[in-house]
Parts: sequence; structure tokens; C-alpha cells
Amino acid sequence: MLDPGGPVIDAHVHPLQNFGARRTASAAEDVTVLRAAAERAGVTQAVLFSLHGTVPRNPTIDECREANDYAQQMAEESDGFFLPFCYVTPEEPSASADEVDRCVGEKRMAGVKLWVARRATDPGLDPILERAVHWRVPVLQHAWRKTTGNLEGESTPADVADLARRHPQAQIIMAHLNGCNPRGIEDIVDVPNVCVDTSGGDPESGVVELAVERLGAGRVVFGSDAPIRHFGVCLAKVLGANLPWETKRMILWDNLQNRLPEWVRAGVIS
Amino acid sequence: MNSIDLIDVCAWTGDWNTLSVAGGAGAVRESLRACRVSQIQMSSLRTVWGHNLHLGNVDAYEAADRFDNVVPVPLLDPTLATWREELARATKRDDVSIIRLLPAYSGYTLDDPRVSACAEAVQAAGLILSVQMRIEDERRNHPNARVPDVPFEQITTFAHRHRDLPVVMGGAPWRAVLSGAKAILACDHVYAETSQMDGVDSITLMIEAGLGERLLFATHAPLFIPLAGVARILLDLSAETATAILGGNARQLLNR
Repeated sequence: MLDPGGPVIDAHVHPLQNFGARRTASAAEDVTVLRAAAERAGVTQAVLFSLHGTVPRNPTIDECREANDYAQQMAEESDGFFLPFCYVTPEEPSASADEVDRCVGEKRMAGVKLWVARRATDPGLDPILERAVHWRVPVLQHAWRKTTGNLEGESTPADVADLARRHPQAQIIMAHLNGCNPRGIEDIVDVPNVCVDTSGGDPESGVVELAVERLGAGRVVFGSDAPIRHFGVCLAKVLGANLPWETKRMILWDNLQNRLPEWVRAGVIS
Repeated sequence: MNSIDLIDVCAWTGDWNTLSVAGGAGAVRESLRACRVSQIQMSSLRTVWGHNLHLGNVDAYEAADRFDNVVPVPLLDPTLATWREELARATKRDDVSIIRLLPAYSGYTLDDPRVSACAEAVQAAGLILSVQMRIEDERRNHPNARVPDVPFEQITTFAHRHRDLPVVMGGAPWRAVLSGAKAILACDHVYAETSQMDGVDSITLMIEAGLGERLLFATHAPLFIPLAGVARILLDLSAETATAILGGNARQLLNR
């Protein structure tokens, strides 16, 4: 029932240092506790990005660097279990582009993470996307459609579609399927370089099925948003969906693997 | 797992405004049977958005009459003039153990004197009262149909006023429950169901806070995927603790 029947890669994980109810004393402890929780659910590999220990909504580039160093440390401690993404801020476009070069070009991080400093329609994102395209790594952009109102710099799915149209060569992962809701799915239907991750929100029935129906099976990737969300609860969104087994396996593994850079795929845990 | 007696204390039948779900009682029962749930405590969603909440209760009664493992959980609105008759209708049946209130949807607060009168009547009938804190995360509400959560403190304060009435918090997020653990433990009759408790190690942390005997398994099906409700308990806990939360605690409460 809870057996994913093969390897599972989670597209959306944060360190416990950022959001864990249980705070950890070191990156090594973070790896031990978080990895154990993931493996209990059947997750075999996970994309990890730190939003800094203090989780500022508008981080400085120095805070992004600290966050990235922490994620890199966790990746190194995890023997390939965690794949780090580079977190940057469109508040400082030029410095962020340099940080992408440092993290992806030099340290071989697997992608870029953007959160809520500025909406995806903002030109401050453009130099960052250009570097992601240069290094051929995916960009994971936070998105939500909150009835209670988004934060000032928080992107909607329509904003993500705008970003993807400005950068048609970029591979964009739009975060939080359940938060984007059925209207948000429609916003990206005709933007083929955007896929959606299943992270965030409650495990509502029928949402993953709807995303597959509207976007196609190849444009949905599994994500949890752990430790905010439970790995197993989020995995159940896919395992409990009314979809063919082959489609579930695509969501749980193939679709994200196909979007990761070659240096990651070469070292894949299969 | 075959031997575990899974009791789902919060499932529903009916449709919902923001989700397309297979909400027929038979379909809900099938989805829960796939997760080996043996007893389903079921309420109707049909009139949650209506003017008379009570009109939907017939759906839960019919489901219980049709399926031997479905138990009706009637919805009561203490601000409706006929709530006493509706409660009497529930107590005439021999299968009702839980009455559910939806304060946020029915439009009252728990300090309303009519709610106290209703709580006393539920207690006198020997029933359990479930108070729904949320059905849906407000961030996901339809923009023209927003329903904020019932404040956690309002429920614990209410429960403290009715010390002989077992109270189950429905749909409480885990952080609210964990931060309010003291208020729950201050009375031996307050419980929380697990359907909206998420986050890495959330249930484990609640057990460490002493809430292990107060947690009752629930799926929130068909609005939520039943497997998710099982996963959060089965993956992280010892067999003994999981067995208690999945059904043992509920069995003890229902048989008290």
C-alpha cells in the first residue's frame, strides 16, 4: 500500500535547520534525522535547498551564500542522497548570477531555487535564469494562489508562466501543486517548459490526477516540502492517486531525473 | 497490519465546493476499505454550505443502514430552532456515538449560550462531541466562500467548561495541538483527530508531549486521500503506539 515500488526522488526538501519542529545542532545531524524520515517513507534521493537558518523572506546575498554552504555540507555528508539546489535572490540579480556560477559551475549543485523575495514577473530574475540556462539546470520557483492573499513578492502560477515565456530555454519546476490549485494548473497548460511539483498543501483527493490530465504525465514531479510536510503523506498523494502505475513511476522518478543535469544523472542512485 | 482495528473518526459523504471528489458513501467506503479501515464514522457534506445543516444527516443515516461498517455522525447546529429534535432523532438510533458541530460554517462561536445548552444535552445523552476546527485550509477556500478556522483556544476553553463531555477536536493542525498540549492534558476528556496533522515527526512530537492517548486516527476522506492518513501514523511509530492511535484509543473512547 505504501510501497512506491522503486526509487523515489523528492523535488522539494528543506533542512530541518529551516523549518523542522525538531532543531538540529549540525548539518550532519540534519542529514541523519531528515534522511531517516525520508527513507522510512521510501524516498531514495531528495533535492535540498536551504532558505537560511533564519528564513528571511528577503535574504541578502550573504545569507544566500550561507544557506547554500549549509546545503552543500548536507549533500556532502549524505553521500549523494541530497542533491543541493542553489538559493538566490532577485533583489541582487548580478550577485545572484555569480552565486549560481559558484554553486552550479564550481560545486556542481543540481539546480536553482527561487522563493518569495520578488515575483517571477520581476526583471531581477532574468540574469539568474540566464545562468541556469547556461548551466542547463532546472529552476524551482515557489508559487501559490492564496485565497487569504499572497505575500508581496510571492509568485502566482501566472507569474511563473510569464517567467517561462521570457525564458523558453529554461526548465522550470513550479512548486506546490495543491497551493496553486486547479486555476493555477490552467495558467501553465500552454507553457511546456514548466512542470509542477506535488509538494505543499493538504493531501486533497483528485489534484494529482487533474494535473496529469491537464499537463500530461511528463510534467508532474513528486515533491514533499518536508519537513513542513510529512514525506509519507505527500508520497500518498501519488501512490493513492487514481492513475496507472507507469504514470506514478514517472512522477516519482523519471520526470525529475530527466530534468536534472548530466553530472547528477551520472551519479544517480537507482 | 491485518490485525489492527482501524477506526476512522472523521470521514464524510457528499460533494465539496472546491474539489471534485468521489463522495458517494459507497465510494468512500471502498477507498477506506483499500486502506483496511474497519469502522467509518461518517458525516454528510451536503448541507455544510446550506441554511439548514440538519437536512444532510439523512445521508449519513442511509449510509449506515446500507453498510455495516459505517456509523453515522450527525451534524448539529445549536443555532437552529430544531436542534433538540435533531439530537433526539440521533439518540433514537442505537448506532450514534458522536455528534459533530461545525461552528465556523454554521456561523456561531463556542461561547454562545445555545452551544452550552446543546453541549449539556449531548452529554446527558451519553454522546461524544466533535468540534470541527477546519474542513479546509483557508488559503484554499473559494474566494467568495472563506471560512477561517475555529481558534484552538476557543475549543479548549469550551472543553474546560464541559468537563464531563468528551470533546474531539476535528481537523486541528498539528502545531496548534502541540503548542496547546498543556490545555488538552489539563482535562482527561479532550482528544484530537489526526487527519490534518502534517510535518516530519509531528505525531512523534505529540506523543513525546504526552498526547499519545488523546490522538484518534481520521482520514478526512473523500476530501483527502485516505492513504495519507494511514501513512503519517504507520511509517513513524512503533506497532503498539500505531495500533492505539489507529483504533485502540477510539475503541476505548467509544466503549467508555
